Amino acid sequence: MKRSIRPLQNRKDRPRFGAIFLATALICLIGLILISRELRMGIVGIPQSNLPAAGETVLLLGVIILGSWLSGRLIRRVGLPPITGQLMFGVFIGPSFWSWVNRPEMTLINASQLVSLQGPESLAVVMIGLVAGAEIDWPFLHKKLRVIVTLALGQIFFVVIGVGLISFVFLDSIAQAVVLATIAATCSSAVSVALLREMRHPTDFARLLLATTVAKDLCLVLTFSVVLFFVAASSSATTTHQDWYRVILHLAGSIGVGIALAYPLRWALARIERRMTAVVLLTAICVAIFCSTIGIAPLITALTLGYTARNVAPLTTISFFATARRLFLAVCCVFFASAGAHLDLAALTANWGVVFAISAVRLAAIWTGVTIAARVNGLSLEATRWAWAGFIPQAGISLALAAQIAVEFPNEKWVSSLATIAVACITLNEMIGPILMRIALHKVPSDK
Amino acid sequence: MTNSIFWLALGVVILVAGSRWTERIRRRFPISNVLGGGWALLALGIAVGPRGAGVLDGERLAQVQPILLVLLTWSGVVVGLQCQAALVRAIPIALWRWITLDLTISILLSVAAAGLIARIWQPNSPAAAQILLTGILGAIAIGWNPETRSLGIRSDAPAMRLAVLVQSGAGALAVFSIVIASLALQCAHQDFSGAVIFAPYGGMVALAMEIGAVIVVSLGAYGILRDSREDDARTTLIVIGALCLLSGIAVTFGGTGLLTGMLFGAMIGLGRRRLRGLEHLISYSEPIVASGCFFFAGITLAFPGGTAKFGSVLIVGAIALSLAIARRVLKPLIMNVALSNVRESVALDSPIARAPIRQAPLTIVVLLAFAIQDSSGLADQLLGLAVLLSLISTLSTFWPRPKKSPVL
Repeated sequence: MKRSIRPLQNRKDRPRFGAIFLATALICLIGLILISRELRMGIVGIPQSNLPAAGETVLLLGVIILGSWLSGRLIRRVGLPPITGQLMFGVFIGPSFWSWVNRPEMTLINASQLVSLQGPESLAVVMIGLVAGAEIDWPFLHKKLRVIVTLALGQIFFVVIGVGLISFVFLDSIAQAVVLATIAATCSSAVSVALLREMRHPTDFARLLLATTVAKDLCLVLTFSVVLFFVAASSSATTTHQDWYRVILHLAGSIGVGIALAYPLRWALARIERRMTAVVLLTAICVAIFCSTIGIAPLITALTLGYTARNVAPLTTISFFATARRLFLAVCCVFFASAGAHLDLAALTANWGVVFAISAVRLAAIWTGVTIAARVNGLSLEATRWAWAGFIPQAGISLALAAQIAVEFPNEKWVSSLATIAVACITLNEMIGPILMRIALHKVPSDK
Repeated sequence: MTNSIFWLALGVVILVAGSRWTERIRRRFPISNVLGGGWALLALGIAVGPRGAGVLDGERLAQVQPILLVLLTWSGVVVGLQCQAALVRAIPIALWRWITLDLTISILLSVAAAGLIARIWQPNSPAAAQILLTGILGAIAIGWNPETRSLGIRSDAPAMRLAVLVQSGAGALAVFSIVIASLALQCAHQDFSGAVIFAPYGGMVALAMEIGAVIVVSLGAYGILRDSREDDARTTLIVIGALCLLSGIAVTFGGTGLLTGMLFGAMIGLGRRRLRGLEHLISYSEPIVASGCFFFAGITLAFPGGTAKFGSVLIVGAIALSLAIARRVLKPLIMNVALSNVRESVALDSPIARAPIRQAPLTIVVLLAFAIQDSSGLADQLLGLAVLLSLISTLSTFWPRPKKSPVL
């Protein structure tokens, strides 16, 4: 008996790395990069590499992966979610923060270097989609379908009304208010799945939040296209807006390709027993490149692929998704640090009054819609009280929709100010959302 | 669209390579050990590379180059992780003798061969280029292929002992091979005009900086990985992050990541506590890394082509054949001399005794590292030479046919 207890005691007593270690490691990491760059410039006669661009990309990737993980661990020690630390690290190394404080020369990653990280970012989006899709199983979806639909519709209704009204007050345009309100109704599947994976044993409540977010975002992507279609039709200016059937084709194509790819994947996984890491990475690379080539949404395709593969062949895909979850931590570090580096702090500070007002109304609308929907469906007291906090985060899809405004209406004067306000609101929600969602996940007890 | 088709095709090839069918075929036919494994991906690399169908060329090639840098560093880590204190202490005197003898003779012959080859192949090459060539040839000549299974399985103790010596010797000599090649690449390198210069000061300063960075990263990674379990997500993250960081730092100082990776692996390996999670991850991914390196070697290597360069083809073929013959003659001789004191306890008459004849696969990785620093095209041709040499030396183990020794 003693022999079986001893190792556990040793493990418990083992000195783990604390805040000082993490902070020192983070400072060393940043210092290492800065010193390397300075010395590289200053010393003559050092050998030259033929691949400086590739070297720069892997260096930045290494800094992002290690730095954001260290920041996440460090921020967790003060009770905040690691995602917040990863976002803050991204903000710290990105160009926006240093431009905002008028020291652009201090930036660790400039705007052109951020472009070189597009490949790893798109890979991260696909991986997030795969893992998020695999978290939702058909029996759960079937059991909770009514709750999911009610929660999604409840918040969409109140957010569109509330944010639409407050936006109309500020922007004085119904079209712009509707566009902004639709973007405000979206959430972040990436944040949901990252916080869910952070839990050792994801609860039904966490899976409910994720499933609702995914369902709502799919619905809103389609709704947004319909809204843009009507705004374009009512606008006299020239637009590049696509026909309505193309929009539906885009969404249906993304879902269809995801479902179609699940079957060859299942067939391949039934015959592969080794090198699963390579298989997962290769699948993600193939999906990312395939989506960009034929012009479909990678997140939706990966979500559908993950969901279909997981539900069509749960046993065959166990190893595949277990490996994907093992790689997920690195993926999150890249995704959220890059998201932080892209945050526009200048836009947030320039429009802080409007942004805070819209965000406050959005928060209140989500609270109202979700609380009513939760009560109607008879969720537990804690779940009813805290479910709203799971729908505050915004990230990738919301930013993609905001960017879509400028693409659709390149010649309209209002586009720039509307996109800036939308991005600033998303920035604020991206920073406070994960904190609120983590509180909600901790407040609502597990099903047992 | 071509991009997608290429990636999907590559995906299918890798999925098939990792499937149960391939494994069954490999087990059934011994010849697949010669033609299978990395060689299939090398052929694929030649087929899709700029000198083949050109599918992976220009911008597409630039997109995948970061993967090459990480693979090189990863290869270095695989070699460096063998430097565990317990393993180093366990090396017997006979093996030390074998390692020293092989190292000394290989370096001496490389100096002579480099001078000779430079005069025949590149008559106008400067002294700095010859120093570089000596280092590269030394790295090619040192060591051998550690794989012994394909040469025939004998379960008697002397044969097993020899197999262990072959594998340990190959591992130890791989460390020297990387050190020699890296020192040569750091000290003799191309300047802005493309001419090869001998600049040991700059090279050593860069090397010192790389080592400093490796120490910082290794200490941090070791501190974090101490608590990680096998297959832990944290281990994967730290390994990927450290590999990217080390690759980037190596390129910043004109290196390749092979040496930084090896030093990182050695520092982790020499630590007091064994990091089983890291070791498991590295050994698990070894075939993937090897396959990736062979694929990139296929993309990079060049054989002098065209009727106008027929003479060059003959020269490269002749050099490869000469080096293979030298290996065929010298490597067994060195082994017999070095292990003469322990002749009774190791089976020097077993097929495993032919293992040192074969070229070490690490040579391909070393030359790939040289190729990413060289813009003259010499490295690409040397890579072609090394591939030929590897094939000829592997085939030369089957000739003359070994006598059948009694299986105990």
